[in-house]
Amino acid sequence: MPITVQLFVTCLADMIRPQAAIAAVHVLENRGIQVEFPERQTCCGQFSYNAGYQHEAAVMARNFVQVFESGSPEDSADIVALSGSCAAMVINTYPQLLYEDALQQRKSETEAREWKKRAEKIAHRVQEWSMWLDRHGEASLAPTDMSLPVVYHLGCHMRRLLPGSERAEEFLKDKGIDAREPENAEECCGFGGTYSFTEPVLSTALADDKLANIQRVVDDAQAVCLTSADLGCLLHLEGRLRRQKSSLPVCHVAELVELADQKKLTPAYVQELVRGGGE
Amino acid sequence: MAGQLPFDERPWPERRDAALQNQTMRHTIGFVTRRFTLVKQEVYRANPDIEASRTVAVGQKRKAIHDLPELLERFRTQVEEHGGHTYLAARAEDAVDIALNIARTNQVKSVIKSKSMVTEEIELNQAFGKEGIAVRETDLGEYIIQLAHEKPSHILAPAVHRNRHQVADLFQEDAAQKKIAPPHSDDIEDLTRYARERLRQEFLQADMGVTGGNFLVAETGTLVLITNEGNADMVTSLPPVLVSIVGVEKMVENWTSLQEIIQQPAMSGIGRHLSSYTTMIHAPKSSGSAEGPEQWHVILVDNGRMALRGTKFEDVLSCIRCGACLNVCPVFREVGGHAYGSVYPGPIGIVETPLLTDFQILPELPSKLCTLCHACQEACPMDISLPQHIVSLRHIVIKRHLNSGMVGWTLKTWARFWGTASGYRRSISLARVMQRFYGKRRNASGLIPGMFAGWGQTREIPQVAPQTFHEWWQDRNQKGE
Amino acid sequence: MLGVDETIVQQFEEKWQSNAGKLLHINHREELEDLILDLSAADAFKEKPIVVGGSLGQWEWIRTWNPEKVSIWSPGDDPEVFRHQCANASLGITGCAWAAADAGSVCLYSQKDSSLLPSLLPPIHVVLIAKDQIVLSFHEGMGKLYQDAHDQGLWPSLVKIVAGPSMTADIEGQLILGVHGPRDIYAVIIDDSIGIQPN
Ligand code: SF4
Repeated sequence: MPITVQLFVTCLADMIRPQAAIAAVHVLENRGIQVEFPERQTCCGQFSYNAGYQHEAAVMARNFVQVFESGSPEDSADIVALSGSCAAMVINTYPQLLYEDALQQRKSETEAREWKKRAEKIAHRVQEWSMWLDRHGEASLAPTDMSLPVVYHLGCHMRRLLPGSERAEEFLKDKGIDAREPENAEECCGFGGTYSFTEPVLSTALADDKLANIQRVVDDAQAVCLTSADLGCLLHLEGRLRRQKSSLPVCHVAELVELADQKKLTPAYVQELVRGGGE
Repeated sequence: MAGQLPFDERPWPERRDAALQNQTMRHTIGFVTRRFTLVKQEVYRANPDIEASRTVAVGQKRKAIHDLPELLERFRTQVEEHGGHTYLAARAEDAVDIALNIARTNQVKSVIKSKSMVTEEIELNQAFGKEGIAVRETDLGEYIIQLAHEKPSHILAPAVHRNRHQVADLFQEDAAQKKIAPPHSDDIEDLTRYARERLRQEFLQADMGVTGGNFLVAETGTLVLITNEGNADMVTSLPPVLVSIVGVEKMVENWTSLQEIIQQPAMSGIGRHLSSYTTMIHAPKSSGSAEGPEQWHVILVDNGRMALRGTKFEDVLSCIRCGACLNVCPVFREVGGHAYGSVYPGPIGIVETPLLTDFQILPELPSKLCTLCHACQEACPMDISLPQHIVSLRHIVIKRHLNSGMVGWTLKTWARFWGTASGYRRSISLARVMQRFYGKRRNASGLIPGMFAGWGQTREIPQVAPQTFHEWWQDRNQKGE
Repeated sequence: MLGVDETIVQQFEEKWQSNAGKLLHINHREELEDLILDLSAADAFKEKPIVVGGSLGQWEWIRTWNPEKVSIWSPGDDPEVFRHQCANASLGITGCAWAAADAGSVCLYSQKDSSLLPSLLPPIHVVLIAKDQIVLSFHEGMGKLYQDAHDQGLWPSLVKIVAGPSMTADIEGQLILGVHGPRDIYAVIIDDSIGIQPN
């Protein structure tokens, strides 16, 4: 029986960078994995939660839990998220959040516990896309001697909240994607969800530090693009790059893995990914 | 009862911009914090057994906070038995009054002081100054900022925002005023030598010494001080009157607890097994001894701390002020301590400042000075849930309506839409309409009205895709694969 | 007598040096006086350049040193006078209660018969350590401190643990030795066999 996974695309990928999610689907399906997409999914609620709007986050979290329960409590397909940060939100925050919010909404203790349990069940099933693939996938569809240097940004939440994420770079390297972290890689890029909107000045100062280190990798190793498993960070950095008139391509790791599968891991194809975007 | 903390009255944008423009400060802060972080990681890597000790220390410290009222009593009894005096100060102003009274009774004219964050918190120097009593800071960094009339910018390295030339200018001025020989050059060696000689005389002549405290041991009535310069040893052994002003939360239960925790500040703060000097005060000088104070007074400061016990923020009281969270914080590295506007900067500062004062000052700290990157959580040797607390504090700020309105309205509306699949779809079409209507370019700002203004100041706003993934998926299904 | 574990001594020496402490090696106790006189630049001094914290115990023989050059604290002395001497001395000598190998630290007690001032005021501090005073870990040493206090029924009013020279990185993060306390600290590790038998 083929493995089935449920895809959580995240709001950002859905609306702004659907190519990333499409690539993610292709990569999974190419490996014979059956992909389900529960269509009633929206957003994990992290923007609201981190900004201090816990009830608002809980509304989205409950929707998430209901959508991925798929009616059958036996359903235990892994939920593959296209963002390390969103995966961490579901795994680390949902159970307590839903418990507390239920009590806040004057639900009974029993009901609150029930929500907590449901959230825990869901949390157990959630993994970040590339980490899931790393754990379940054979090395590469098309073993290759290609090696394309790229700058890899491991987002803070994936790095610190998802155990095992230190393998993320290796996973890409196995596929011919020569992922290199910039200097001071563990320092935040300044995105921070709503932080990037409510404190743009500092958020941008942090982006500039990050981009300076990224540029050094581009210069020293001829890296052809900036990539990450987290679109939030990427959109923030890309927005800054474009404002500074830089044309450094920016893409999600799924898009690069798809290129690797297709043996198209060249600078020209990477350029094309970006041109395809947002048109 | 809420405590009182001094604060910088400049509004946040002003504090922030001043910090961002200070390139000297940003450079040094970046250098120093990264180096501290590196050596800390190294010492932990090289000594895997520290981890076990740390875990025990965390458990014992939590328990001490839980039992604090009882331990305070035990500590006081012990100290009094050894001939010391103890006081409990509920608020900052009480602590100042007690210290002033001791000074008046002993006709104190000059005070030497080793570094203490609590005395910054209660603004002791200002109060003594008003009484005409000169207080001399003796930690080199504190001495520098005292000459410059500034506040510390880092709890371990208070003058890290100044470079050698700026320090030299201060010392030149000081020398001219005192009519003594100025430092030989701008060389850091020479500057340090100047401070050594200049402060030596004050050490020998002072009527009273003031220290803070790193740990209090309830079982034995011991106060532990940790320094690298040796100034605390001067303060504790030379003047005839010694006043130690310490936050109540510095308590540990017994000697065993002290054994586990005593190396943590140096390990996590500066990556060494111990700082150069660890000094333990147990009693005033016994007759016939060569050194030590004739009187020893310990002022235990509450100032908003006790009220945190029994709340979900209780673990904050386990902080040992090691500075590790400041050192890893990307925001702290960017703006340094002054931008926080509080005595306590960095991740622990943005949590403690509103909590100790019940949000009376600087309510913007949790939202403006944290990206929630979780680096502090990883660094904190006392396992304090800093990011979770920051989220909770943001929540409280919203509930108490201490924030600006626009963000709140947006996020509430957003949640209403995005809580269901149909609302989500509607919001996307609405965004598309709005963009067609308002924007020259199609972009995502319509999704969260109002908030993209900030983003757009410095970054291009991303565009909503012509076909979302949802639409692609439906399309594909309809076509049949 | 049981042999002292030399690996502990070695570990102490390594850690002490990595803390920027220095070592003075002597083969016979007679060598120490000359070394100390040299270090203290005694010839250039009018006043007594060397101050000693007292409580000599097994270092009693220091009392045979040139009294023109050395001042030793004894209970009953005038603290003011001794403090003045320490403030003007170029080198201070103390013993220690114990030393910890893993932290490269020494622990000094302030008691009636032993003063901490020689370890604080002069620019050079020499600490005399008997090999069997070195314990493996700082943790263990702290336990010993507690035990000592219990056995004697008395806590030293001040305890000082030294793990390196006085230092600061307060200006531009650059490490400078010798701010308020001594800039040079020397450990003299003496074997009983040297201490007991004269040359
Ligand atoms: S919060 Fe933790 S890391 Fe920060 S100063 Fe306190 S103990 Fe150190």
